[in-house]
Amino acid sequence: MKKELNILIIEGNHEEAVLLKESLLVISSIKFVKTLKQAIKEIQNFEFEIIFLDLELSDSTGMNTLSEVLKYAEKTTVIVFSGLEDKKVGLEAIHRGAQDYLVTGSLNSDMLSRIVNYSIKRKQGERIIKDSAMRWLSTFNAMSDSVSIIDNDGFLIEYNSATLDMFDISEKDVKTRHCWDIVHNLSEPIENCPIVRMKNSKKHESMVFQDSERWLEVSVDPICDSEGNIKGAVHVVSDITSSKQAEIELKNQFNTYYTLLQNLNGMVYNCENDNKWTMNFVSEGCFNLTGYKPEDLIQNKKIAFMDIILSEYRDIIWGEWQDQLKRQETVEMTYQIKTASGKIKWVWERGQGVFDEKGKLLNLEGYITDITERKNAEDQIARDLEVKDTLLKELYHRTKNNMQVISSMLKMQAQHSENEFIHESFKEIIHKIQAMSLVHQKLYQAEDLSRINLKEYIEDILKLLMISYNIRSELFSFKLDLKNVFVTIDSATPLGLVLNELISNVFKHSFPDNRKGKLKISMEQEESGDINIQLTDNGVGFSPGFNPEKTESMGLQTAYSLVNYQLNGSLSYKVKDGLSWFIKFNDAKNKLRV
Amino acid sequence: MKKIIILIVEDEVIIAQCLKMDMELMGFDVCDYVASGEEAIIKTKELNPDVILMDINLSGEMDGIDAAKEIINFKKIPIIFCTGYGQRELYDRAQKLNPVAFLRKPVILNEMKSHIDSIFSM
Repeated sequence: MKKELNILIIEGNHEEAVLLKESLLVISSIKFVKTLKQAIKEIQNFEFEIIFLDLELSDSTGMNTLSEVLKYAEKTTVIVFSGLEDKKVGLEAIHRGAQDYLVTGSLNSDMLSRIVNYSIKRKQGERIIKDSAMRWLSTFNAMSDSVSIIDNDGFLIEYNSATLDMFDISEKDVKTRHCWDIVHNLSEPIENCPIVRMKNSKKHESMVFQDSERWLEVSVDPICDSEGNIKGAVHVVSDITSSKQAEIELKNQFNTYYTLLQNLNGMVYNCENDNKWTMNFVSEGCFNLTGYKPEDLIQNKKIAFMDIILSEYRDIIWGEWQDQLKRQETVEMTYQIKTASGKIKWVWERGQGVFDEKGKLLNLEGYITDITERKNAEDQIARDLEVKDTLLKELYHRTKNNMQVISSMLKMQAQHSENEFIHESFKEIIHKIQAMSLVHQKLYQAEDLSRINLKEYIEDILKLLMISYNIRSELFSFKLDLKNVFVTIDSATPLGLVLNELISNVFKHSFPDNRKGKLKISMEQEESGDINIQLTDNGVGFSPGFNPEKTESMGLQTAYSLVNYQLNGSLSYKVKDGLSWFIKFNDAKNKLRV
Repeated sequence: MKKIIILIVEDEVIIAQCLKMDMELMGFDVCDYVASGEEAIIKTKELNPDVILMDINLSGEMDGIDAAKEIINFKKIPIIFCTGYGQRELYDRAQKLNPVAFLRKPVILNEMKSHIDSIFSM
């Protein structure tokens, strides 16, 4: 035994105390007091492991002495002295909190040592149990759920403080009312009562119910004796209002989406990435789309989705899906299906793979909708456009042909005349008709049938005029610096007539007497859209005093009119080492007519 | 010297007449002008021309290339195609028949003449 035991001996009879001291001195340090008052003072100042207490003191007697000492030494082992004839007193003292009693006069050292040791251990055990009980009680009361122990009649034997708060009940009432009265405010167990069920099943039972605005969950676990007889139950009531509300909200939200999903015009699906496109889920729109009910398609019960797809699309769709799945990208496709009634429909599908966090493909999800009407309308538009293009080309062709016919008639007519002036006049008109006819020819060949490339047009006009005026390459050199510029028929036709006039004048007048000449034509388009065309020759220019703007020459007058009025542009000239013409206009104001 | 005889196949009669005049002014002999491929086949058999100036867009079922194809099946005759449009597809079809030329309208007469002359200068 450890020697450092601190012992207080409260003993009125000093002889007994001496005896005790002799017996215990080896193992402890001992303090003696004779009165309760002194004892209390010592206890308050020092924590003793053991107190030997004589109940009969000068200032206190009997059980009162014990009670007073225990008040101050709750954690200390108290051993009471008792005489041989006072055995009952000893037992009474143990009942009231003493650890043991000693019969005075029969003490010896071994016995004392054993008693002390045993008493200390017992006290320690009690303390552990008491501490543990306190901890559990604190836990019990700290719980927000109502936890109670009920007996077989449904009365609460033990309960935590949350029980009183949850059911707004007083300490006084709680033990006098049945649990169904407390929880449900009923005079008998509620239908489906978990306590009643637990009595039959002898295992955990629970129920969820609504109590005005609260949602409560009741759980009941049986408490059985060693023979398995139910003696009561642990009754737990949890307030699950917030989680229930979240659940209800989630359910409502799900219902909203589900309703939306089921009312979609197309079909929403979840399927496997297999060669049947085995459906795990399809929305109600499936019936309108395919003529099959969702349950016919799910798990290929009646038909696999792959078999609804027209055979010529199956491999393409499979390939497209596998490509996009590798990239984890969305699939968008248009293809045809055959419905239950045999009708062929155009559908548009958009879908994607569903992957887990490791990137493993789980299944596919997407949406398929009927686009037959749209597709038919598109096809019709394409056909209409084709017809329009054909008609327009025919129109350009006819116009060009008619102009050539007129041109041919004039040419034949001129042939019959021997008058040079008539010859020349007809020739000029034929040139103009050719320039106009060329616009239609170019339009016929143009990709969008609405605009022509001025570069090609100018080159062709120049070529025709060279032939017509029999321009020999050894006498004339040309330099063309023409950018690709596209204009509408509204600009091309008047511009063609102007260029025809200006180039013809160069060939007719600028280089008399077969002198050698140069003609440079350049064209560019500014960012503003303004088109600049410049014709420069190194010929004789204008004769002195000649003002082309005021000339009576019909050709030049027409050229000015066409540029100013029809092209909304400007025509200017400069005479220096020959003649330069400057044409500036903008085609942007002209709307595309086709 | 015997004049070169030309058959003109052109569906616009005025243009055909004008072309006839131009050809004659250049010293050729135009035996006839017809508006369809079918007539061209008949006239080739009947008039035995030396050269055919063949428009491609014609009235009737056949176009100029189809007509030329039939003609060269029975008579090896030089053919000059004339068309308003230089479409690649027409050009490719025409080239299979190995024509003397494939000219765009409006036809440059000097060019036409030099092609015809080249056939018979050898």
